[in-house]
Amino acid sequence: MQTFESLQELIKNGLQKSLLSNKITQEDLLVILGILAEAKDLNELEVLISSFADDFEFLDEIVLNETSQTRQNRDKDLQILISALLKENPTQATEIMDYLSQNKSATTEQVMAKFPVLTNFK
Amino acid sequence: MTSTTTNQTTQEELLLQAGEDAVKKDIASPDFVAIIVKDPNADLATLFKELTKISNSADDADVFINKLYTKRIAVMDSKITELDKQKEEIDSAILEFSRLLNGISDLGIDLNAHSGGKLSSVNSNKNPFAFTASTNFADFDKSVNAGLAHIRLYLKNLFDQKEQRIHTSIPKDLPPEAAAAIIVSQSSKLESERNSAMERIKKNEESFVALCNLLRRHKINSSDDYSAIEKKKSTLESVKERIPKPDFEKLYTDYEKICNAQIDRQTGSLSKPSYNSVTGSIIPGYNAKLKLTDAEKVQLLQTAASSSSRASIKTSGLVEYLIKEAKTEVKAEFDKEINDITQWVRNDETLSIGDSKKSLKNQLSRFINSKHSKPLDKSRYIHRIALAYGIDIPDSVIGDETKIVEELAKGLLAYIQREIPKALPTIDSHASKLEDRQKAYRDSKPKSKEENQQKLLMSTRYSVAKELMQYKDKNLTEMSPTELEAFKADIVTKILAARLKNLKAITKSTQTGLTLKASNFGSKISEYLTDNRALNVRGDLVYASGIALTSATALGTAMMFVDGGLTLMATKGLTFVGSAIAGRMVGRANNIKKYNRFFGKFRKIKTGEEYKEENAKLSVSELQEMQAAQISRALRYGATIGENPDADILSGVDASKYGDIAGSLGNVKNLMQLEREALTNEISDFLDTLNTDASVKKEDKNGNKIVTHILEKMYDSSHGSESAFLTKFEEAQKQTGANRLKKGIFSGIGVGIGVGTGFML
Repeated sequence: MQTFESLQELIKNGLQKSLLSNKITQEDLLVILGILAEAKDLNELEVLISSFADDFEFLDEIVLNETSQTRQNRDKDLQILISALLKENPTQATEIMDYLSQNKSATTEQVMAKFPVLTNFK
Repeated sequence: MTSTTTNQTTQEELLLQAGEDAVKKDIASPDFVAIIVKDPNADLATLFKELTKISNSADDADVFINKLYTKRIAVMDSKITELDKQKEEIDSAILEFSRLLNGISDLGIDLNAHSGGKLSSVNSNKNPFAFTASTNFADFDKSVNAGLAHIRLYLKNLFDQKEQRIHTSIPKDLPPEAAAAIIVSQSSKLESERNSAMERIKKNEESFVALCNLLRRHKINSSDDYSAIEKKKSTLESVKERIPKPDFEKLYTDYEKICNAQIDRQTGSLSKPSYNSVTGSIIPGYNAKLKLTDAEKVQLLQTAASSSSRASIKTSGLVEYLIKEAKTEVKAEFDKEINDITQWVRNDETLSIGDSKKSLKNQLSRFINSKHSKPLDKSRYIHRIALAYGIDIPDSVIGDETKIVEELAKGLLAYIQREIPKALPTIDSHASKLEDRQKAYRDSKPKSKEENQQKLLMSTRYSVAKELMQYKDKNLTEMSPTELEAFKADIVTKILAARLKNLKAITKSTQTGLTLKASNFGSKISEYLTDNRALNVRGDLVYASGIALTSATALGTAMMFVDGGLTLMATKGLTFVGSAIAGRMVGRANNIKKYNRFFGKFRKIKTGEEYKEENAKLSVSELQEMQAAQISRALRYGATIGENPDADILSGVDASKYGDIAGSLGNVKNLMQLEREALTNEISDFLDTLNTDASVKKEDKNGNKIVTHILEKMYDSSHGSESAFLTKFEEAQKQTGANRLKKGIFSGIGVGIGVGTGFML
């Protein structure tokens, strides 16, 4: 999971790379930086990033990386639980795996909420 | 990013690479890189503040802050509007979907029974996505499709049942024709109903497809996603509210207050406060160790001048202070450049002040371009000149270099035409004072020779001053460089001529009783020999003896001619020796080398070149002394003082006859020429001073300093040396006279002895 600070680091790096590769003007940099700098917590910063991801490539990359990272972390967390479930209820385990393949951005918490049975294997 | 350490390492590498890339590609992003390098852990808010400060310095602060604020708000508004549009589309789709479901319900279909319980809670007034427990779009799609399939089946069954009922409801005893008519009639009605129902389903199916596409487009999969849009909009609105609206009045007031406080505290040297463009507040003490540079002061003035609160800012003490400082310290620092411009304006032959603004503008532009190449430096330099000269650059031309230079040229012209003539109008009042003083001297009766001399001196001085009065209405700024040079030369000539006139008058007065004109060859030779070689008494005796011996030999020869050859031989030998001595003593200029070759061991005669070399080593006082002696001597040989200080200082001397004296006259001319050059330089310096020396202008304003300066600096100041010169001249005259008397006595004795000896022999 990203923290508020680490996400800001990602933004700084992204801004810098965009600036040096002429993908963003100094003025646009100040504008988007001035907006992102208003975020008070991680949640707000994530919302701002997703809101402007279509307008700024470096933010879109962050969103994609974030999604990918989330999926990897989620899959890693759920792998053991699903393995255990598979022994007891293969049908439901298959259903969960189908769900995961179709909902790549779903977090561990969301999956656990949708399939409460998984909590039995924690 | 897996850890903070990794983050920093990666960032450092990135920065290094970025720095190199920036240098290579000349990308103008060093500010951003510099800030991150300075504080790698800075959060976004700090980064933004620092970057804003730097950007401020390259733009007018208020304009920059306003622009940044406006753009941020515009971006946020745009994003919020986009979300609103998304919501509207979804709301619209939801409404349509609700109508679809309600329309189906109107058919008397139990939706719940056909959707596996998933459509039971559909209500247009509630979140329509609550109908499904699934958060998966595919599930939703699948369940609704299944529901529609059920509906179609239900309808088919329904109409089949109705048709069946029609058939069974016809009485069996009805004639076949009538039964057939009823069946046709009912079937037609049934068909119509069935078609209508199917049409509504089809239409709803289309709406359903449209809804699904909309949901796909917005990636709306569930009620969570829908609420995410609302949440996102709410967050954006909240962030937008937090973006501070710039309070420019406060910005200016605070900034001014801090600057003024720092001016007071640091006795005139400003520290640079900074303003937080985010909060609109001033951060005092930022870069407190750095004093405001001149460029920054000018920048501040420009900012103040272009700000929306221009009126209030302009009247503030801060700006007054900075303007004053710009006109003093800044001007002092840039004195050379400013002088360059002034001199260039004054000296450029092609420049015609008053009618050639275009020429001035073009050349001013070239001049500025030669000083600075970077646009920002150039702009600051132009504004610095403008401030120093009190030239107002209108807001309307800011940003257009050509027009700015045009304004600057216009202002410079006005400055030159306005300021420089101020140095001249005091001549009139001073002239009347001089006239009065001259009259007083003229009317006074000298009681002594010294007073008479003084009167002559003063009279000459006033005549020079009077000559200068003709320039009282002259405007130096209207003179072309050529005219200005002629003006300088004229002044020099008049002063030199006055000095010679003085010399002439005083010479006449001191010559009384000492008639210098030679009346006979003997005394002339005597004078020549003695004067020319400046012999002392002992030398006079030796040469007088020689002359006496020569004379005696001549007489003896005449007498011995009769007596015999031996005596003749002896006499000839003596005559030869005497003639040789006398001839060499004459020392014509062209014989100096020959003379020196034979007699140089005993006494060497200096050539003109040697005189010049020696003169060059002499002090001014020594030169004047020699000059006085030489003029005095020349006068005794019939020279007269002319009016032309260069060519005809002394005329009437036969150079071919008195080559050595002519050489001396050459020295005099050289001296006068040196004096002319010195005077010319002095006048040039003086005129330049008029243009650049504030104290001179101040004095001029207070009264009548222009003529005073000319007289005191160029004429009166030389009065001391001139008096010394005249004194020395008189002393030389007296000394020459005494020497001549002395030599005459000795010569007489010598001739007497010689003649007596001759007769005796």
